[in-house]
Amino acid sequence: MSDIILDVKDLSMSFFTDQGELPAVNRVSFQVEKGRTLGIVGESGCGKSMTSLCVMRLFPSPPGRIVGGSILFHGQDLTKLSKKEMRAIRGKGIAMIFQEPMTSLNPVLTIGKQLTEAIMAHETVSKAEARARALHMIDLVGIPMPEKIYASCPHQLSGGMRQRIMIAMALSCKPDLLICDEPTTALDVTIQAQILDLINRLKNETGTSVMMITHDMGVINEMTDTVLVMYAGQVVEYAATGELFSRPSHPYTTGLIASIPSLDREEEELNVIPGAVPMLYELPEGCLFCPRCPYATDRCRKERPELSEIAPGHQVRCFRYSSDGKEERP
Amino acid sequence: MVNFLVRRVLQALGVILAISLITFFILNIVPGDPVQIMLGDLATPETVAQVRAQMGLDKPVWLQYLNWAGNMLRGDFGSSYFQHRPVMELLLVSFGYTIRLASFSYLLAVTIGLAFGILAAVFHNKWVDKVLMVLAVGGISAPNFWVAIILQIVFGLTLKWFPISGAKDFSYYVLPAIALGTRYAASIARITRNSMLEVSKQDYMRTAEAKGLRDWLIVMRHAFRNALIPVITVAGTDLGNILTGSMLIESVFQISGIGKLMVDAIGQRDLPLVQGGVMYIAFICVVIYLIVDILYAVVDPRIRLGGGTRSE
Repeated sequence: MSDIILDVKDLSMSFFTDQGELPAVNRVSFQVEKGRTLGIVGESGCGKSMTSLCVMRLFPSPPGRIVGGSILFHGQDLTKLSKKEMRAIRGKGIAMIFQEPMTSLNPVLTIGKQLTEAIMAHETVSKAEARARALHMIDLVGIPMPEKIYASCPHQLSGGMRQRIMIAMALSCKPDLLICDEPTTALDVTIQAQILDLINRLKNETGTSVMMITHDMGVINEMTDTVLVMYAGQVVEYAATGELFSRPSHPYTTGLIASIPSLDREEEELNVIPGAVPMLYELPEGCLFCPRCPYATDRCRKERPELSEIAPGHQVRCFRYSSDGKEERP
Repeated sequence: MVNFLVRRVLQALGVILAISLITFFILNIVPGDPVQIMLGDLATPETVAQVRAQMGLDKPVWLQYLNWAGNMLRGDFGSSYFQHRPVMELLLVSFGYTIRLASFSYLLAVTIGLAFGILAAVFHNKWVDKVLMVLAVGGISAPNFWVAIILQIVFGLTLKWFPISGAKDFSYYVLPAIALGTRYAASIARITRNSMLEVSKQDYMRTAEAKGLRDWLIVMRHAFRNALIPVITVAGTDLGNILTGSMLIESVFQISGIGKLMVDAIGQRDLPLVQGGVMYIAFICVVIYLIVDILYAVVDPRIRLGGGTRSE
């Protein structure tokens, strides 16, 4: 089956620090199919960005190190590639756009220079061809007057335009997989919608698969086909998007969905999940979510649950659905 | 850009005017009568008064300043009291020596400094970094006259590779250039390293890596150019310092540059020569800072093109 372009199995990445080994990504598995969008959702510090940086092998190293698992991209294990082989994949096979468009472009180089160098790094084209491609990409992401933008410097563009440029840059070598790490978090709401539309349109036009990292359940609902919910470095729920929203099963997922503000409901206050994601050096002994979980039992405080499949393609890490059949739903 | 240039040049002229005022009046109130020193203890008061009148020193100070400043604008700094030659001529001769010494040592300082700084940053926390930074701390801490003497002993007296005093040809400049440049090389290396490390934490560096660019391209195109601004500041100030002569190095190696000229002039209360020398130093510094400011604009388009960020 060649439809799966990215197959991550049991991926673990730890930071080795003075406080010992801190598991930032803990036995994470997921797959991305061709032309589809996978969402990874969770609060700040849950490991979603680190998971995506593992795929690009761009996590801070040292102190970070992949300690287990594999990342198969077109069947090739990225964790085993040399620096040089990895460089050939970055930007060409897998491209990435980041959260902060304001600081993600180099302030002293023109937009044109930054676009063409991405193209020329991977393809043997002349300067003129690279320039033509760059202009085409600027036009493709919906910015008027490409010639003018080509000669501009990043500080002359707005945040939304800079994110469009980042997208143009990422797609300029026609990657098979585009990783978007909170691409709209730093933007105005109106611009957010435009950028998401743009990503969707280009995804459909180019057949690129997308990994969408976000903490916004609204973005997940609109953009993705499957969702990975992460908490403290672990996958807590993995399902098709429709299934996840119609049947959210992990207490953390239900909490996230309940936290979406609604215009219809008469609410005085926003719903929140009490507490915060635990720091990696003070993880609880049992289930990682149990200190914040309304359904926590003694068993949750002592043992860590494994992922179990509650429906075809729907996995949950919770004792209430564990495979020993004891559904302890209150 | 044109506005920026005009503004900076006007500022520079103002600074030179202010410095000329300050030096002139300070030198006129410091103790030590040049006429008395020139004529010696045996001169009668009448002779002293006569000479003073000849030299125009009996006039009010402000009139002396106007005379001096007016002459200076025409390129006439007066004559040395003791060497009886025009100050301009003495300065030009000395400047020849100073500029040769300065160019060699500055070239050395910038090349070594940038190379060591970039290497240390690229191999951050590895042994290369540690060795280079120990060298840099040593280079900054060692007084340059001490470095000069050690070089003279090792490469001059023991190995006999280079001459140890005078300034006849290029080989005479090797040791002084190293002695003078060491400190500047070390400070440029440190600032380059720190600036490169600061830049390497920026988001756009990760973007550059995510594009799959080759390492040297990331270092030289993306990191180095952004890291240059603090380096230009330090290297520019250093150029000013080096060009205004090094009294110690020029004395140790017996090179008759600006530094040595000034030391001698100050010792003799040779006012026109001191004033001329100070004006020369001021002029060099102002010009260098002007060049540094223009270089900022060349490196950083945010300064060159002006204007803030466009909002949504």
